[in-house]
Amino acid sequence: MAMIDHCANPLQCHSEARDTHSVVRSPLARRGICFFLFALILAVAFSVAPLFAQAPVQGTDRAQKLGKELMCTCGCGDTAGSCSHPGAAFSGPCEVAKARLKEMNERIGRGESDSAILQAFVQEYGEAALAAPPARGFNWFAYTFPAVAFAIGLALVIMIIRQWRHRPRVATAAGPAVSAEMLENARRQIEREVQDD
Amino acid sequence: MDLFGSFALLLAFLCGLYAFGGGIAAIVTRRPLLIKSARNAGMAVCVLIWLGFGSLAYLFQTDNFSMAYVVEHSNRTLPAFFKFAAIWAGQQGSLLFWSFLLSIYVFSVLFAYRGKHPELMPYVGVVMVGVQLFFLTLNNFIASPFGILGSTAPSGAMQWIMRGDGNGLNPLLQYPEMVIHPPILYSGYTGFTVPFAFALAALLGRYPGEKWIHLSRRWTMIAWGFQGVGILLGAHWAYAVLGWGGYWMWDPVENASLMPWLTGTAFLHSVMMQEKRGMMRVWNVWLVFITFLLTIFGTFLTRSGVVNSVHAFAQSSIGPWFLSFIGLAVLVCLVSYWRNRDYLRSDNTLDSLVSRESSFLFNNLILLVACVAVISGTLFPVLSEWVRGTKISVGVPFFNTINLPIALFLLFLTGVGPLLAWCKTSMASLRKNFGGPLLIGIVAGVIAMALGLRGFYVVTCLILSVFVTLTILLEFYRGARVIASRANSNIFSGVAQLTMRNTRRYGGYVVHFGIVLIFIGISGTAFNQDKQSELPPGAQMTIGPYRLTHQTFDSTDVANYKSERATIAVDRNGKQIIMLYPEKRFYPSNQESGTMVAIYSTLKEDLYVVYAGHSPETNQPVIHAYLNPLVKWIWLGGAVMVLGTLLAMLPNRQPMLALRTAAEPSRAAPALSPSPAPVQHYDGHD
Repeated sequence: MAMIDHCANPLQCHSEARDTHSVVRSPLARRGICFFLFALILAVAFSVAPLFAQAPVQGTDRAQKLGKELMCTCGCGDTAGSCSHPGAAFSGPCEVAKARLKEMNERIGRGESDSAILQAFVQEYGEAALAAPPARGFNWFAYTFPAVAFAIGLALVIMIIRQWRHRPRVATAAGPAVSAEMLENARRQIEREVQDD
Repeated sequence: MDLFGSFALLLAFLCGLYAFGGGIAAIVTRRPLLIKSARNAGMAVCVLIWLGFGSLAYLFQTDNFSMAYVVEHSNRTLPAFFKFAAIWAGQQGSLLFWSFLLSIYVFSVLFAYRGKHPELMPYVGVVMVGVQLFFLTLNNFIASPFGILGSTAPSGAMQWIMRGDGNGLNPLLQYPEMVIHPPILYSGYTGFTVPFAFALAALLGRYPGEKWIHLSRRWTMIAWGFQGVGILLGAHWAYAVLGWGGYWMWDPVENASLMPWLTGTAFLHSVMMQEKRGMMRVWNVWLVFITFLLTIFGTFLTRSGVVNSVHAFAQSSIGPWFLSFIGLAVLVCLVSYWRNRDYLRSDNTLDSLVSRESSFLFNNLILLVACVAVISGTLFPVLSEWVRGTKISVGVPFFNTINLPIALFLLFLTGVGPLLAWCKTSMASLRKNFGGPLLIGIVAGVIAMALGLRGFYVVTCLILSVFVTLTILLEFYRGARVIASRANSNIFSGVAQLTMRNTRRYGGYVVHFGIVLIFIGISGTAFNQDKQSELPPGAQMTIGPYRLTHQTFDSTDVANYKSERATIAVDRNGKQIIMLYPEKRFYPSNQESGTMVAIYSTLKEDLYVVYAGHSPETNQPVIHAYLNPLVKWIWLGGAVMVLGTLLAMLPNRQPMLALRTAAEPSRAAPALSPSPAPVQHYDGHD
């Protein structure tokens, strides 16, 4: 399996070992690989198959699901829909979370849409009521900052790669050919020198 | 013993001052005796810290309730191993514990390299002792755990007080995992001081070559491994104790531990570029600096109260000290770099865009973007309040939205990177190496979708998981096949030999496979279900394929707590499969409660049952059941990662078989090998 087609500085390239992998593949081995891959696909399919039998992303009800987009302000750091209030006498939704869920149920009962319900909570309790800041105004910064960082980083990486590719190489000094024995000695010497790592 | 502990820490501080000042003087004067003296002082600092830590442990074990810290975090009925864990339950003790773990690293490094690398080690010693001094300053003057209880007598004199019992340990910490999770995580945090010290020392001392990387490589892997395992143990603790059915909620404390792990991972990859090609010297030094600074920054975040966190037990006004230290460390790094930047100059050249080198660049980019995303999300509430005066919440939905695509791209690179060759990879090689795995991955995704799997991220994760797994397996298979055919052995023996010949490379693949398992486990979150209902004895509830019957209910009084326990019979398809005993505990000493979750865990899913207590409205027992698919894969992935990390730290075994073949031709097939076979070297780092 030759991975390298070209290398300007073979002494620095360590991919030669890959060439040693080049062994003629027997039909039996090919069948073995196919069988193995097929078995792997089946194993993965079976491992995730139980997921299909279940309806995806089911909360207990709409309020519970919507409650996961609202923060519980009891100090648990969790959402109202999943507050378990650790350390308290009751490890379930605390009074704050219950009040939020109850209010949500009432609004659902009045036929309000999800976005209208969330908006009503924002008006009542401020933006801190939402588990994720709404993507508008200054909050855009939070959403776009990683993307901007990625874009800048990508531009830098591309620039660096271009610079490195066009950098003139140091010409190899002419001299006597290096024998395999010399290389082996050099390798052993390097190993001895780094033995105390 | 409190005086002994205080005195030991004070002496450690003074000794540290000498080791630091003496170390600098030794570097300037180059006097061998001074070098030795500073090193010995550095080791003495460590021994004194151990004595201080030991005395605090003794005070906890002997219920010395004249000590404010012991009163605050322990009580007489607390079991002995939790009394040990109580040492790091609060701010002061956890800072001393940090010092203690750091001192183990400092001692190990100073002792292991005593008399070696005279041009480098004095610098390393100064940097490590400098960091240690900062924590000793906190231990002695800012947050000492040896404060005693006292009150003012009518005469105006201070008098000591000995309390009859303590307040007890936070129930959330009274769990066996809490005895090992903080030590392991802290070992990660503190361990990153070692590569930082070596990098800064090499820069300051203009130490030639890449030797500092060879010297610090295993230390970096130890720190990185501890950090990763610590994060996973923390996740498991949250899962098994907090009773909310999840394991990761993007809390600032969790994020603080993830940030240095991400940059540390980037360093472990990019450092190979420097070792192999002498490239990216500046980048690597800065990655180590950033990783160390993030460990301190994370500690600042979790202890200063700057951001809201559920880990409120360790918040205080200690923040300015950490900020000052971070500022000083940044200044030292900047000045050191600026003065010695010519030392880091390297002739970076690249043959092709499609190469191992560029894959490392992209890998670093994605890991750093992930780190930036976590930092920006964690700090955004503070920034928003500062800029707009409005407090906002940044919770799980935000972090998931931002980080899922980044994580999946990283998973993709996990499969692609290792199979690209150094220098250049041709399109033919790309097709050969990636075509099959990618095709099979897509086929698996299509099959899954045909079976009903939905969700872009879940399907993508499945495709990438299959793709990465296959590329890893093929890498093992191809190498092992060559060895097996040469040695006339079977493929498993070939895999073992291959791995031991280049432990770093193949250990790395094992770590990658562990990451794949973790991703599969996380993808199961998309299918979580939960149900809460009042369940008096005899009543039943159903979740997924399971039927839960509340059989009995009992309560017991144990020395340290009172317990209410439900006995739940779990049926599946009409057949009873297990009895679960979710429990609720009440700790009278601090008037707090804790849950003991009962989990029936299989590779397919976890049935996670919480006894929430009695409903405040109806006084009926309430059971909260969760069905969490594939969670076990996460813990399994963690175990595989540990195995891979340990493998990667082992020294390479020499290719004995090939050498023996060269010396004495195989008896089995003399005709086929008339001349000595060429020696194949798989050594080296990849």
